[in-house]
Amino acid sequence: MKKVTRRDVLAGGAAAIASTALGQSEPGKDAGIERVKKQLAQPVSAEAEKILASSIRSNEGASAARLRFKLPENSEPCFVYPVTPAKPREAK
Amino acid sequence: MNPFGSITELSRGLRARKFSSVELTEMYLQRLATLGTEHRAVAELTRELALAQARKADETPGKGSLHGIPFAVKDLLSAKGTFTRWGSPGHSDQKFDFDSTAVAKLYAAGGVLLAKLAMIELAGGGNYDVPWASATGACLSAWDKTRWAGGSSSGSGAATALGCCAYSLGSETSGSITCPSAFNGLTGFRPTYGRVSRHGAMALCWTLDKVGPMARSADDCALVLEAISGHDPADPSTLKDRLNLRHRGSKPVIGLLKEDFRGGKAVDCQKAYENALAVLRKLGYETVEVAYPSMPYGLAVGLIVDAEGASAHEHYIRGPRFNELADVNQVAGFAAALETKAVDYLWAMRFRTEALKANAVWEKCDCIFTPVFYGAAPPADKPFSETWGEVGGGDGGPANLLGWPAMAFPIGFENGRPLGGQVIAPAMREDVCLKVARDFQKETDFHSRRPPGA
Repeated sequence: MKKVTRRDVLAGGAAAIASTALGQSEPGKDAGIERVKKQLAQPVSAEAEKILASSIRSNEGASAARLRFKLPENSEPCFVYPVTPAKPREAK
Repeated sequence: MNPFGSITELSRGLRARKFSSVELTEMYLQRLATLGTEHRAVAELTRELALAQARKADETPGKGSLHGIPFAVKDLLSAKGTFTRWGSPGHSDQKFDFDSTAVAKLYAAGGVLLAKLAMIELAGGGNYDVPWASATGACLSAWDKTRWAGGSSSGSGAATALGCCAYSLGSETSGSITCPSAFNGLTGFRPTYGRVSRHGAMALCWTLDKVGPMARSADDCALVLEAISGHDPADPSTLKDRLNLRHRGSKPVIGLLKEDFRGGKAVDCQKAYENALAVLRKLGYETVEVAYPSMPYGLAVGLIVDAEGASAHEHYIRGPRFNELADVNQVAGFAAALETKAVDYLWAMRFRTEALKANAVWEKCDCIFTPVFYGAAPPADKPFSETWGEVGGGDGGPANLLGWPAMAFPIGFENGRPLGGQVIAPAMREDVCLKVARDFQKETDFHSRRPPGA
């Protein structure tokens, strides 16, 4: 069970907490951990790797939890891409 | 010279030539070097810059209330000629050759920059779990050196409460102004998203970050916010609407959420909350029970922090100094966040549109009053996973997700340590936050009390 972090509490992430009640991680054997480690310039400590396993599971939990809240079909994200016109070509 | 003087009092003193800006600055520099440093609130003293600015302020006519007034800023705001280390051991050499917009505006108002203040490394975006998640170690509460000052604007909270500056700037993605304000007995103003330019402020989340004042009163926060707010072409998220802090309309109706008070165990907080309501009702405020629509606001905030934080700091996360982060939880958190799925982030950004339904709460009230937390500051020497259970509470609603403003201010004490309440208002209605907080502070003195030994 991932320890409850401050952000979990502050974000009211009850869903994230509940969904991380998973089995113990096995550092080194988890493909997700290896994938993340390959992206880093330096090896992480054993302690960091242990927490990394837990963090990845927590994130997977969040990824699963959000599916429980279905958004309306075709709803738009809260940003709009602003098209920028080109500068007029100068006549020679 | 009163180190706890309000901005108005200090300004009057300067204009009446009771003291000079140089003298005021020297006093605050001394306090930062002693008290502020003892509490680990200081990232860097900007002594030479401050004295040069103070001399110039003394030589030029006053432009407004902030002229000649010394301030300090969270060390995520760039200021030319200073280090801007973001609280991160891995950014120890970092400097920017430009001033952040917020700092530049305070300079233009005649302000004097005393120091860069301690913060949680990278604003805690990697999901920090310990008070010492900072290059400067655990910042200590102004009221109790065994307790944490809160975060991520830790130094802004402690230094301002200790009378080490007239006011400070902090920032908030999700709690980083209100938390240290509550734990240090300060008044902190988290403005509407986009009210203050983020140009020159370290990005954790482009769509959630807000820069705001932390001071010893609602009035002081208002003065500072007026100076730093405004549209900035360098930050496309800034609002074109001008800030208007003059409250318009009738007395706000205050919405009250269903408060659990940690299953009734947060006795001091419940008492402080009920006393605060009694004060407000005596002033003629009506209250009404309200509730946010039940939606996963916190889940969305977490996904946004992960995706945007990992992207904003991707170069560092993948770089050779990443392991230097002080909190191993942050190493794990930021690394794991590299794997945040695009569809999850986009769900959160689509959810944000859906979450606008929470604006329905404003059909019943004009603001919401709620404790910042149910407990006072936790111990500074233990992880939050061991101690946060004794704090509890926290706004689990849509305020940060939807960019709503809030003002946090002290409402009582628990074993001699401050407790904070907050007034949350609809987007762009900072005037409502100010009206309620100001009225409360006219009737009470929690905001005027001083930490022991300060």
